[in-house]
Amino acid sequence: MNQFVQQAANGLLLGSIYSLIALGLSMIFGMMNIVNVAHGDFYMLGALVAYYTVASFHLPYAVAVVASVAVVGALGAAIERGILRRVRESAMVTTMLITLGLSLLLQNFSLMATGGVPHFIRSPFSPEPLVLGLVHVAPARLFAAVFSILFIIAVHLFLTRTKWGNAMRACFQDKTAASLAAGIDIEKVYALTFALGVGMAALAGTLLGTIFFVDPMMGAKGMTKSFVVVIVGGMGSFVGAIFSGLLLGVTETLAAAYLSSGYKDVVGFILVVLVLTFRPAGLFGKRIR
Amino acid sequence: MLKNRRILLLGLLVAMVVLPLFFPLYQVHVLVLSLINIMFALSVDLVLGRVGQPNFGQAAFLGIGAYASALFSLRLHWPVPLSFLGAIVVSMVAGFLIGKIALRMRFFYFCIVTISVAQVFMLTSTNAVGLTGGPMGLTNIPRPTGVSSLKAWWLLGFVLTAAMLLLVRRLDNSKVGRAWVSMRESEKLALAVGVNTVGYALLAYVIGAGFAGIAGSFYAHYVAFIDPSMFDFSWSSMAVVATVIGGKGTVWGPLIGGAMITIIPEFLRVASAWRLPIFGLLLIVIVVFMPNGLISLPRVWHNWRSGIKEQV
Repeated sequence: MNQFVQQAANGLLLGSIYSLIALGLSMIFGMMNIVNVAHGDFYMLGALVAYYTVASFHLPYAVAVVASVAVVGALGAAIERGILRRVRESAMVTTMLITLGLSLLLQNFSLMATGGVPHFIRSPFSPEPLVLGLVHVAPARLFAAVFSILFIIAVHLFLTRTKWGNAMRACFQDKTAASLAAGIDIEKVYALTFALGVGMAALAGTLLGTIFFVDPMMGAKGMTKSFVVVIVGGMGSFVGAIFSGLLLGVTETLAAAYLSSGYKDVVGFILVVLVLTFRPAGLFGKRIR
Repeated sequence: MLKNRRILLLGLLVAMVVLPLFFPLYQVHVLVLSLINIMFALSVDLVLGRVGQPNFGQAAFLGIGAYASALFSLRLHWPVPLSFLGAIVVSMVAGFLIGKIALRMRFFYFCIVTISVAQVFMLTSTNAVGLTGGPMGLTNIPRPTGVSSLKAWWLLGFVLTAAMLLLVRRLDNSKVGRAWVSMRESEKLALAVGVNTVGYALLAYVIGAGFAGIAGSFYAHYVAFIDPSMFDFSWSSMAVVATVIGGKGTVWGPLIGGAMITIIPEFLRVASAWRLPIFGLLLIVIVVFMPNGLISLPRVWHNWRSGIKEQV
């Protein structure tokens, strides 16, 4: 029983970070109608930037987190303005191909930069686990989970309480009406959405980078996980992404503990197939595609 | 004019078959690899270019073909041609079953389901050590009798690729091809005028799976070694790059693209690390500025010369 609670807690901690990556993907899709195949690579890039900030510039971890989100967010905005803007009215396959190209670029530039050696982001947290009732938790993991939950709440507040957040939600619902009736500058909203979306992936990278290895190929895993979370939770659903992120984290960790660690990554795909068969719009999705 | 063109084409064809027979061995090896990439790109294009769905998980069928063929030969001791045919059947059956599920989805969903399927096969082939040899892969996959030299492989691959190209051309020019075009341009309209979109999409998917199976089986027997990386996303993405660079939805596009992505890196040997970033960049540039691929270069050039602005 103790072990079960321990594993479930580990799963919840991991899952909250899955939710964070996936929310970025979900926002980009919901708002811009772009399936960001390179999402996992922005997550990887976030971890790498944080690693170099700490390792090469000897700056504290907190600075690294901020720097990484800022750098990746700015890169996202630049990519949106420079490339994605040109293909705004194209078919969805076109933008998917472009993000696939971005993914190849980011992955291989990082491979060249790092030489493919896996790294750890040195974090200020002690490796000594905290004891919280029944469970033992590594401080780095606890911090990562709490921070991503706080950030998700912050994004939620941003979307519901601020002018720009309202503008983004208005565009999400109806772009034409938003620009014509409400006078929203759609171009800026697009750039902001993409920057925020990939920035969230980068943040997740900086948080997971203190727990797992950072390497240029980690993007593929980040991509598949966030795709799974978004589909299970329902496209564009905030609550759905959070719930299904946690669900994926817990089921994966339990599967690794009780079934076989080799097959733990299959769990997500089984969830996807089940959801698409029985509830194609996702657990919390309202619209059918 | 037409007659001259035919003779020219025929001469070109003969030259393409015969010339490599005088090449140094390594160059022939590169050409054989490019044939595999062409076959695989053709298979990707059947869904990407005909149905118009993001086919980013085609490595599933490449791997299924490779593993099926290798296992038939190694475990059941079938002769290689029989294993080859068996592999095609297995990948087409797999294509039918997976296509039945995947083709109910569009874009995002189609993409994740097909990538997932490839991932599941990769994990299974890594973990089912007893059957597949796990991460160590399968070694000593037999070669077909009579096909021992590199040049024999070149000829065999050439014949296979040519047959596949002809089949695609045949299909494109038939009722099936017209149905595909209508679906790609507007699925709703195609449905409205009574095109059986589900059936034709599934047909493209199953033929594509069969083609990938051929490429996989050919690869397995040629290289004589396979491992779970056959199912890797990088295989799928390179084939997509090849297809789009060459020109998706065409017969010659995958041919040009498949040959390019294999042969150009050989010239760029010194810059081997730059290979993939270059293709990533090329993919973006082509998609943005020349969405119909390099195959449309003559037309783009002509339009540019005569000052015609073409609407994409």
